[in-house]
Amino acid sequence: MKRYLGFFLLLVLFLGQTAYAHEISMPKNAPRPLKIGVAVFVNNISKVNDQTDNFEASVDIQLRWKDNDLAFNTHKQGSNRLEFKYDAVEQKLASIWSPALTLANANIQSKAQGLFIYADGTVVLIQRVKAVFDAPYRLDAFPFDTQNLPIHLLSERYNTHQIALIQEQADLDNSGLRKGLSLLSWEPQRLKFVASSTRGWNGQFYPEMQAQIVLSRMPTAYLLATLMPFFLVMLIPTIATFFINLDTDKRLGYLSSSILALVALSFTYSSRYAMLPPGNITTQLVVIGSGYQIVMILLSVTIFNQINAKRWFTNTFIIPEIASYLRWAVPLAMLGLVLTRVLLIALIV
Amino acid sequence: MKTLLSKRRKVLLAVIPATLLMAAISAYASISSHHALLEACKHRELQLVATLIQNDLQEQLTKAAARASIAVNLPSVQEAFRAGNRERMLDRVLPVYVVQRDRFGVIDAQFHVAPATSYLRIYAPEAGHGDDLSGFREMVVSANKDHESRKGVEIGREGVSMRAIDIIKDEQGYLGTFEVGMSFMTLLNNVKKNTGFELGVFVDNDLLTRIATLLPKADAERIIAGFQNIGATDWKQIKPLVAPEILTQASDVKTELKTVAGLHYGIVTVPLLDYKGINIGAIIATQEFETYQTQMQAAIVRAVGFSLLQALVIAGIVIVMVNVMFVHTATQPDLSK
Repeated sequence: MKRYLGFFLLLVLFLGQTAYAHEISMPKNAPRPLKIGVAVFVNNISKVNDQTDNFEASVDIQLRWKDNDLAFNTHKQGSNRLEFKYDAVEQKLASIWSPALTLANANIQSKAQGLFIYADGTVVLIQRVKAVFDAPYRLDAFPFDTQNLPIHLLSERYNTHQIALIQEQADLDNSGLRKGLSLLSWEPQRLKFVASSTRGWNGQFYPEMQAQIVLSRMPTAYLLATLMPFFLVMLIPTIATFFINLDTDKRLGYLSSSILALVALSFTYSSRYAMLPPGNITTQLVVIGSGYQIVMILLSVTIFNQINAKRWFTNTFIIPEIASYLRWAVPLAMLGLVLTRVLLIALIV
Repeated sequence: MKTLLSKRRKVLLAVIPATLLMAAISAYASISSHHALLEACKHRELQLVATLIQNDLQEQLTKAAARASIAVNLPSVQEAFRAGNRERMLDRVLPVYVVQRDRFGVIDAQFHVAPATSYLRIYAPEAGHGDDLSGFREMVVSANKDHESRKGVEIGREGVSMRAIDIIKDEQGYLGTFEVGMSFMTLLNNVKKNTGFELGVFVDNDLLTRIATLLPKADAERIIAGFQNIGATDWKQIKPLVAPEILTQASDVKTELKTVAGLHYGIVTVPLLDYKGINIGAIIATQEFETYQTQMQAAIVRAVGFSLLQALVIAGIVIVMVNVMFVHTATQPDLSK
C-alpha cells in the first residue's frame, strides 16, 4: 500500500513539474506591466433574457500585445505579417506567450480564432465567440430601463504588475456595435468599457475589463400590457361609486368584485414579472389601486350612504355638492398619481 | 337670485385663478430651486476636473524634474560629459530611460550645452546632434544662461511635452543641462481614470509644424480651427464636442454645458500655457451629464404633480363651500315668513 502511495505521489509531482515546464514565460524584453490592447466588436445579439439573467451574442474579441522575440525580417519572410487560421492558431498559441484572458461570464457555444504576428513583434489574436453571457439586470426602472450587458474579460494567471488591459485609439476604433443591429423590444445604444482589477485567492490583484453593451428597452408594449388591465379594474369602483345610483350593499358588492380582480391582477403581475425588484411599477400600481379601493369603500359608507350622511351633515346641500366634486376629482387624482409614478420610474437613474 | 349668482361667479373668478397661480408659483419655485442646485453641482464637478487637470499637469512636471535630477547627479554621466564622450553617456543612461519611456510616459530625454545646443538625444542619438535650439526652446536657453533648473510645457523638435530641465555640473564647473519630457497621454489617462471624463490636448498647428519637425504630419481630421489634437483618450467622443470657438477662445479655464444629438454634456477647457505663459492650445475634458438632466426632469414631474394636487384640493373645497353658502342658501325658501 505504501509503495502504491509513494508511486502516486511521485506521479503527481512529475505531472506538476511537467505542467510548470510547459508554461511559457512572458516576453523578456517587454516592459512590465505588458500592455494588452483590448477591442470588442458585437456582431449580433440573438436573445436578451431578463428572466434568466443572461443574453446570447456573437462577439469578436481582439487582443493585441507586443512580443519582441517574435519580430522578423520582412525581406526574409516576404510579408510584413504571419497569419494563422483554424487549427494552426492553437498550435501557434501553444508555442508562444499569450495573456490567457478568460471570458468570466460566458458559456461558450462556439469559438473561431485567427492569429496575426507582425514584423515588429506585434501579436493580434482575434476570437469570434458565440456565447450565452451572464448579466445582472437592474430592473428598478422597468419598463423604461437601460441595461449594461457585460462581456467580462478577466486575467486569472497574470496580475496587475505583469499585464495591463488598455485601450488605445486603434482599439477603440475597432470596437463597437454592428451597424443595423436590431433586437425585439430593445434598442442598442453603444458599447462602453470599464477597466478594473479583482483580488485573487492569493491576495494579488488581477486586471479585468468589461465591455458593456448599452441597451434601452422600448416601453410602449409593456406599458400597455401593464396599465390597460389596471385601468379596467379601476373602472368598476369608479362607475359603481360615482356614476350609478345604487344602494350601499349593492355598491359594496361591486367594490368587492373589483378588489378580487385587483388581487388577481396582482398575482398575474407577480408571475409575469417575477424578476422585478420590490417597488417596481406593478407593485406601485397595486398599492395605488388598493388605496383607491379603500377610498371608494369609505365614500360608499359615508357620503354616499344616505343614512350616515344625514346623521353627520345637517346642511342638506353639502352632500350633493361634495359628491359632484368627488365625481371628477377622485378619478382625476388617481390618474395624476399613476401618471406621476410612471414618469418618476422612467426617470430613475 | 341673479345678484347671488353674480357674487358666486365673482368669488370663483377670484379664488380659482388665485389657487392656480399659487400652485404655479409653488411649482416654479421648487423647479427653480432644483435647477439652481443641479447647475451648481454640474459647474462644481467641471471646476473640480479643471483643478485636477491643472494639479496633474504640475505633478507630471515635478515627476519630470525628479527623473531629470537622477541623470544629472550620476558621477559617471558627469565624467563622460566632461570628457565629451557621448557613447559612454548613452551607455550609462539609456537602460534607465528606456524603462522610463516604456512604463512611465517619458517621451523625450536630451542633453544640451550652452547656449541651447542639442548634445545627445537619448532616444535618437543620431538625430539633431549639434542642432541649435535657441530659436524656439527658451527653457533650454534660460536654464543654460542662469544655471538653474526649469520646468514647463514647451514645443520641441519631437512635439509638445511636459518638460523639466536640470543642470549638470562637476567640481570643475558647469557642463550643460539634461531635459526630460513627459507625454500628455499620461496626464489624460490619469484624469480619465479618476473622473471618467474623456480628454484631449490641442496645440497651435502653426507652431507645431514650424518647430516640431521630427513629428509626423497630422491627419487633417485631427486639426480643428488651426489647433492640432496631439492626444485623446477617445477621439471619437471628443471630436463632435469640440467646436472651433472653444479652442480659439481658450484664454482662461472655462466650463460649458452643451447638447449634442439630444445628449447633455459638460465641457471643461483648460488653457495650455507654455513655459513663458503664452497660450499655445488647450486641454479639453468632457463628460455626458444625462444623470443631472434626468434628475431635473424628475424634479419637474414632482413639482408639477404636487402643485396640481394642491390646486385640485383647494379648488374643490372652494367650489363646494361657495355653492353651499351662496347658491343653495339663497334658493332655500324662507320658512320664518
